[in-house]
Amino acid sequence: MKTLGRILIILVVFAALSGLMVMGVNASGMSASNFRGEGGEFRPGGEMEGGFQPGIMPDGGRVRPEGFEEHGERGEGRGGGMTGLMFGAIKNTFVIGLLVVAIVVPKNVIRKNKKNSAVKSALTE
Amino acid sequence: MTEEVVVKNTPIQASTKLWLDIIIFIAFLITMDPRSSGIAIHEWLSLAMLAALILHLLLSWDWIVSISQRFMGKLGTQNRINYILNWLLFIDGTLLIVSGVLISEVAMPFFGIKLPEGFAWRRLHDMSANLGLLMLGLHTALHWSWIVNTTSRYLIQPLVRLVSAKSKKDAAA
Repeated sequence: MKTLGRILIILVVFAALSGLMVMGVNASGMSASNFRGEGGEFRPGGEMEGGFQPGIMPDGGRVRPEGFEEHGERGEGRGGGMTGLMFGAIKNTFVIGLLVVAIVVPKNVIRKNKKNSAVKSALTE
Repeated sequence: MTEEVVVKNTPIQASTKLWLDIIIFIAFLITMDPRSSGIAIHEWLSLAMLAALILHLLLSWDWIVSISQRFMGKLGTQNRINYILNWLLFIDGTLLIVSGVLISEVAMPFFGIKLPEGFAWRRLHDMSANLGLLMLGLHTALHWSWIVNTTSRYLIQPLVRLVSAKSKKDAAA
């Protein structure tokens, strides 16, 4: 019962944050399907010349923001398979490792220095 | 005078937490590369990770409650930084999941839910994923001593004991 209550608390906080995020994005007008992310271009609603619809390509495909054409849709196009997955995992582990080293090593050095200075001051007293 | 809050876990709790964290870490690495793993694995694994993350929070519940109660009072710097970072990680994780659900191409259509295309959510999903990687790095760094100690106690030492017992058995035979 206690665990169920805790799960409920987590889910309520999660739902509240989700609601705030959706409201925030909708209020800012970014979630419209014709939003291109740069803030410059805006495609008006309704049908355009030649029967085209905003955000829809003449061949029926959807307009993608810049960058999506090059790299393909999420999970499509590039392939990579197991080798790509391994490369990505190593790259991400390296980023995390770098952060760990950048924080843990100076922290340990500071702790050691503190310890050494404490021992020194104890010996001089 | 500030104080560091140390919540003691039982051996079962600690080893469960360690294995759960290893699973979450591996799942995170797989989901971070949807182009290689494929969109279906990316989406279903991410949804499964939600349950694992709830379990991760449940196993750290005592610490969360303890720090929440003392946050405005006397509290050590490390605990304070840890607590703030954990909240930021939770907010980023929420954004990652919400944006992921809203741009879902496999999981949501499977449940018969078709959501309108939103490029902003796509960008927010990418941005929160990259931010999540950085925050996970910080989270790992701040818990490094726990990771090293628990891995040594519940993973390496039992393995060493197992290998040495086996070699002794082989030598006796």
